[in-house]
Amino acid sequence: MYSTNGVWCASGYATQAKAIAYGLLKAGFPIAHSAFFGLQGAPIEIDGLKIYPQFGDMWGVQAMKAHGEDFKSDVSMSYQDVWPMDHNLVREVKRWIAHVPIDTEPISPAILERLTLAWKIVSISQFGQDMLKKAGFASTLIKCGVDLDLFKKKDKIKCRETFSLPQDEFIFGMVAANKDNPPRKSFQEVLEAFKMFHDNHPKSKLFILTQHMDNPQGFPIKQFSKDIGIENHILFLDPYKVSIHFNLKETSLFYNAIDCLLSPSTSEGFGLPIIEAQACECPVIVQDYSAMPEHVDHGKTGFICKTAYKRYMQILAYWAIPDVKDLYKQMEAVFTTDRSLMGRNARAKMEKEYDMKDKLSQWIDFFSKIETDIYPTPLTK
Amino acid sequence: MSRVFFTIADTNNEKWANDMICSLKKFHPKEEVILYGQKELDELGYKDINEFFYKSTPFFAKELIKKYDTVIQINADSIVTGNLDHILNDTSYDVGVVLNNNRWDKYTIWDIPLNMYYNCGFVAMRSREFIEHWWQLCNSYHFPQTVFREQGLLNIMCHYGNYKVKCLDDKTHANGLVVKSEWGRLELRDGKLICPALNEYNTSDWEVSIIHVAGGNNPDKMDIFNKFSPEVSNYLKQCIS
Repeated sequence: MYSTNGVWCASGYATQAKAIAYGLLKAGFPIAHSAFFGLQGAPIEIDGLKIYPQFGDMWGVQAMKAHGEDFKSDVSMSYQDVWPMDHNLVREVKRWIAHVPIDTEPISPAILERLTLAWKIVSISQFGQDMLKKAGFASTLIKCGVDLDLFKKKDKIKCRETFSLPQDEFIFGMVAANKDNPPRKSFQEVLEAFKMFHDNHPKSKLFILTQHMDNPQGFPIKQFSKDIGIENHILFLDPYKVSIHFNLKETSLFYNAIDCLLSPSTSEGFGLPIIEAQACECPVIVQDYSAMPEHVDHGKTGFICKTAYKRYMQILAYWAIPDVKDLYKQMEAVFTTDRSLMGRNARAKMEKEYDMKDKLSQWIDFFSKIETDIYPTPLTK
Repeated sequence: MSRVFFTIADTNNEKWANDMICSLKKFHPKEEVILYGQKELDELGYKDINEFFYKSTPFFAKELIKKYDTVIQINADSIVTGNLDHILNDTSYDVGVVLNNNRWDKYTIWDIPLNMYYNCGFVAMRSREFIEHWWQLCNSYHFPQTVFREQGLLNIMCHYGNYKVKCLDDKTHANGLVVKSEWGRLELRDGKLICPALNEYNTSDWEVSIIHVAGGNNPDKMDIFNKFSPEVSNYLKQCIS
């Protein structure tokens, strides 16, 4: 049983889960999906995958257990943040595999407390695996992958036309949820750094792909842009379109429309846009913290900016605040570098290290070993 | 100097007890080991003894100490992963104990510091007086009031009594729950199971001689091999094979 966001949803979790679930199904594993977000009412089936609806607690633990029992699953895997999962409920899940992002150093105690109950742990980044080991946990490393057939270089002019972007300006992009303030996606620092860049390069824009430009719980992007005098150079799409109609194909067009992706988050359990952009030969700028730097070869496929300081958060772990001046410095670097070469390097790195086909092979190996452990005598599929 | 190991296991735990004995014999093939299994427990009428399993260590030890100089109890849900000579060759103590707490588990009784609270999963006894005192307390009005029963009383006796007590977990050795929070980072070096030094926890390398699972009577609790690296997991399986 695979418990995560409904695989049709517009989230990094769903994007990966869809590939994994259908990949395992195609390989012959009996798998069902518990969609704790995105489906209510009754089970459905899409392209051979049985999908169970939301049931019980909002984080899907009761559903994972109940639907797992209904499906007679041997193992149940969750792909989500574990800290909000009720550990009394998690304790009752049979052979719980925690497919988990780790995004801070140290790991939040709330995460560790729940991971003590996991039968197995799969880390999606080397950073996560290293942090887990330091905390005393063994894990299997299977990084996120990118669909290299979908995310690839396309005609920039046509892609800019799709979004009505100016053809003659340097455009930075962001793909970032705006759910909290202080913002995990470093909106303030990015906007401040862009202001510095724009002062030197007036023909430049920042194109932000987010569902909420002015979420009351999030960062007031529009107002802050106005306060620092760059509101006319910040571009965004209609929130309804982004929330409801934006799919992976259009995300690929987005990466091809921009000149560089800015992703210097305060923390990332992985940072899927970082590899999606590079697969499209779009250079990236990330921050030197958590999982971000392992996806980028500094100066070769993108740039890594420094941390100004680390803020200790209520989760009892650190967020890293990007150094605005250094972020600006990297933005100048990407402006002056040979971005075609950088883009080709980025694509080559993605082909070597992040091909979703390779990741699926790892998942198939992973579950094949589990199947052998649980059923030493081969089952008839 | 005569010595005996013993362990206690009802039907649900006999398989684990046999695995533990197998692992002990890997490192100490000539040691005498007694398994008090379901048959022996039934013959004793254990169900008629109130909270028997929470006082079973002194129950059996008080008889064994009449015949042996050293009596060592190991919980059935343990795997011996290394040589125990550092315990067996030391005759300086009345009772040798191991620590209960680690980076996750923080239990204690009275004002005993957390890093000095002992676990009843491995107890090496050389004093008849100690064992009889322990048994007496386990049958007193103190027993039902004491958190973790025989273990709580063990701690009180060790810290407030007049016995020579040795903590078998030290700067170089770890025997049981003290490494439970570190299972994921244990590694093999030169055929020994090592808990590498870590600033946040153990400032020197520990040689790990016992893995103790603990955690009550959950039937799935011994399914632990995924909690170790593949290399260590294979090593543990070899220990019990």
